[in-house]
Amino acid sequence: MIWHPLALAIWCGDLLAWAIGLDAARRLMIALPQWAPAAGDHPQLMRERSLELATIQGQWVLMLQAGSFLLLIFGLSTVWTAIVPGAMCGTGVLQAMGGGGRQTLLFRAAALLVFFAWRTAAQINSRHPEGMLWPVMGRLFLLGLPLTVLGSITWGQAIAAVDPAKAVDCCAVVYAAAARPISSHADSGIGGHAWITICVIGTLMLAAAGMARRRRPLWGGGWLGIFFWGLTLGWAVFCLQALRFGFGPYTYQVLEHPCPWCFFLPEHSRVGFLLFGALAMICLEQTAAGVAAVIAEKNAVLANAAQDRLRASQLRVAAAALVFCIAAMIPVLKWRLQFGAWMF
Amino acid sequence: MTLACHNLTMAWPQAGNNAEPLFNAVDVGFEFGQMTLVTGPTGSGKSTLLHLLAGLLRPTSGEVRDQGRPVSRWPAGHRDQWRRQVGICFQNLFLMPGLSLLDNVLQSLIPRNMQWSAMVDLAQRMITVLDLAAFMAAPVQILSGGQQQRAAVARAMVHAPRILLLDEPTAFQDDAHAERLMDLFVQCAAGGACVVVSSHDARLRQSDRFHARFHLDDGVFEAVE
Repeated sequence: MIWHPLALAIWCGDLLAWAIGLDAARRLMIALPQWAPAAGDHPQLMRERSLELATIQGQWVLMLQAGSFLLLIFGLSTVWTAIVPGAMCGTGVLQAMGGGGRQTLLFRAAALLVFFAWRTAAQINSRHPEGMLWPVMGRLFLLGLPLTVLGSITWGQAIAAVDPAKAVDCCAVVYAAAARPISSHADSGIGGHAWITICVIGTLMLAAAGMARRRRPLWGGGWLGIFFWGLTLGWAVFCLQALRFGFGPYTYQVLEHPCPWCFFLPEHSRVGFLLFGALAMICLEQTAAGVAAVIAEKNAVLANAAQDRLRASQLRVAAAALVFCIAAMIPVLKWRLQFGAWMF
Repeated sequence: MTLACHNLTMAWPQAGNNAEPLFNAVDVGFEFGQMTLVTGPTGSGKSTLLHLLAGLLRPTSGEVRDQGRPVSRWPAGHRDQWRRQVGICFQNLFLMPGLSLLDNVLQSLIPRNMQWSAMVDLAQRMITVLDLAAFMAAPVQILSGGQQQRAAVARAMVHAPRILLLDEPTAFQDDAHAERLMDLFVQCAAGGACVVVSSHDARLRQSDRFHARFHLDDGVFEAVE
């Protein structure tokens, strides 16, 4: 168990998010089943005020969850390595945390995606005074809340598992985990340069697709938006692997060290914050684009607002994709210029 | 084109569950381009009605509709935007005592993204029209009751509102100034605004310049011929 102030700050953020989120959920559970926008009676007016307040509460929950997630990443990559004996980066800290560490990351990331989808719907909804999306927003919010609870529970398990007296074997974990993928990729002929080439071309295509969708936001309708969203999440997982097996060796200047957490170390200019931040932005904004595409298709009154949001998100996706490519490629090109040869 | 109350009920929550509503299921329309006078005994809900029409209060049930749009049900952000089209002169005036007369009148122009010089020009003209030019830079608290009331009217009218709501606007005025204010309200209505005046003032009750009159008593609205 660790009682580090950062761990406690994450707890505080979680508890506050729970308190606000549960009150918002209570309001939604009371208001949504009887939602009757055509009625102007007292109960309906109270329900409308209730949902207006729940929207403000939802924004606080999203902010607190995002803050907790950032603190968690910062703690894992930078702070708790000093507490866990043998840990050199986040991999060692996660090893000390057991299964809870990875689970809390996954649940919190999923919660952020859902709340970001909710926020996108709220942004589009706020462009029209009659609040047509409140029921949809309410359901999205109620979907996200259990994920925050799971994120908090697994966080509790994770910090309970940390034993500051027990050393971890940071690098051994990385090599053991990487041994199978490396050999299987080698068997299938995927080398380091293939990871880099496919990742860069794919990311640039993502940026180009984003710019094309900015011009014709309604092309393909809502289903294409959902397809793009799924494709992007898959692509983000691929990029994560490309960072480990393709870009990592150039950044770390070691041939085989497939550790995603070492990107956050000061020795590597903490480039992980930029790389993973860009990937996170791509995923979040593509989620927003998917939500906006569905709303644009289903709701004629909000179509213009949804198209505006879709255009903005695609611009951000393109910008984040370019940032990712540049940040990932700099060590590769630097190595080539310095030594006159490729690493693989 | 009307500013309408549709099935409007208003009960103060502080008065408890069993308290009688101020008015119950009221349906009444105020036409744009016209002046409407609302009369009624003290405590009948005239000021509350104006606050509801201005979007400062939310009804217990029912709606305030501006040209069919249920503005009283809009979320705060949209209602605030809409309220920029409304000018209101409160019975209690609510002038800012530490500020000059000019600064007080400028208050309602500030959210409008206008050039500062244009704002000052508009405010100065409005103050001059209301016979207060000599007090332009004076702190508002040194003005007399009638002058403060005209300052509040200037603040309500300076941005040429679409909806002008006036609560006892002539209560502290002598006959000449009351007539001058009436001229201004008529001009405002002639420009297409919806002007609603609530008053006990006998001079207004006897005036033939109102297009419509309502009497509010015991929660019941009655059109007065």
